[in-house]
Amino acid sequence: MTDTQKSPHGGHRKRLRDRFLRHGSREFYDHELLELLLFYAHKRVDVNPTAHKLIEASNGFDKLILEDSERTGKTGELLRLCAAFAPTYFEDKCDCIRGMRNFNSPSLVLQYAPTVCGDPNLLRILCLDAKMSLKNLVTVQNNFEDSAACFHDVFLAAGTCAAAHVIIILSHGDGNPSYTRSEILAIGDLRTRFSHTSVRLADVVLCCDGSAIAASRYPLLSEEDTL
Amino acid sequence: MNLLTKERTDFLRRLLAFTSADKAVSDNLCTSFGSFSSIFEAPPEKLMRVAGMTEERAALIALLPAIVRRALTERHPLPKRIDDPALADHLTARYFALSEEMLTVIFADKSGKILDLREYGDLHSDTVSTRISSIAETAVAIGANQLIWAHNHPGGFAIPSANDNAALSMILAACRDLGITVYDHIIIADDDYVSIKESVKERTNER
Repeated sequence: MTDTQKSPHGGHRKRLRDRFLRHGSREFYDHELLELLLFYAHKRVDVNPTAHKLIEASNGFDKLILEDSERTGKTGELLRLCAAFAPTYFEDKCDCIRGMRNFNSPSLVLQYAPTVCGDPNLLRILCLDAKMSLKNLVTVQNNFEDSAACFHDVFLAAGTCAAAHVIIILSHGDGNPSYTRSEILAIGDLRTRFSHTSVRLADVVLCCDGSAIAASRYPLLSEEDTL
Repeated sequence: MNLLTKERTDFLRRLLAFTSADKAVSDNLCTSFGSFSSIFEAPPEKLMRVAGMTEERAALIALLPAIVRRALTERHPLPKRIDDPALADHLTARYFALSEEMLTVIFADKSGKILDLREYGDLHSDTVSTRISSIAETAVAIGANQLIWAHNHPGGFAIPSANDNAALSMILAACRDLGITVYDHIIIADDDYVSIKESVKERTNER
């Protein structure tokens, strides 16, 4: 049985739902959005007056939706789901990001690096925990060839989030897919500097035209305990 | 890592129970999308491709983030000034669980008083020049002297991409010609918020 057959308000319900599915919620008044929700709790009742009353009784739409409802019945259950939605959603998003961003193999780094690099004037620093999961992604000015300044920036970024490992992502905007001589020297110098700290420089990845290479894959550039 | 914890799958079942859906429907959604947030970010037409899903059920799933986004935006209203820290909360609320990219421009007068906020849809390379013309025309029409350029990175990190930088260069050039200042470039990714103006300031202070 369709909505229209079930209730005299079915046509209105269908129109409202179609409008929402086609154009989104931007043009909806608060009470119309609430009506859409209440349709699910009350299949055969005109919910327009209820929507207005609920907003008024709660002193605002935000309080009604975001604060845990003490109402009983189906309306109360729907409102409780609304109140629980934002925390549940954010918790899941955090888990998704944590789960997706583990860099315990060089190929994962090489897949990921081109998605975050771009501007050759900037360096991206992946700050990783002891298990190589991403703690933070920091952007700094590209001063890679000045290894003392670069070390300072990267070490600060790692310290801010107590990272155990860092991976530096640099980008070439000139189409050159290889490390330059001065970058090779800087990688060696950075490795020496980091070897005196508790932070490990796990890799230096170079991105160019959508592809990436990792210093750890080149015998002359890698350290003994590469990824 | 199990993204679909018992709490999250129970939430989905309780919600879909309002459409008389059985456990199999929420299980199918979980299998198809793999995470709670992906289900609620999916467009209705994609949800309807899952076995057992109907238009009524897809609308309910799409409705929940929309209704919470509206409530969050009302809880964190647009402040009166562009330098008000409450602007971060307002923008984060506006972009809550939004899976499509959206550009928002906040127009202000010389003193920093917010005159208007407009949304301009996505920021793809083929739409950016049209959007910039439209933004420039609005700024001139309402007498704005400053603007904030804000957009989201759905499912990503709050750092500027190469496309963002290219678009920003274009808006900077257009604004310079019109005597308008770009006050800030803000990127929102989920509940993370990055102000490029503040980042540059912090970096300068660190040196």
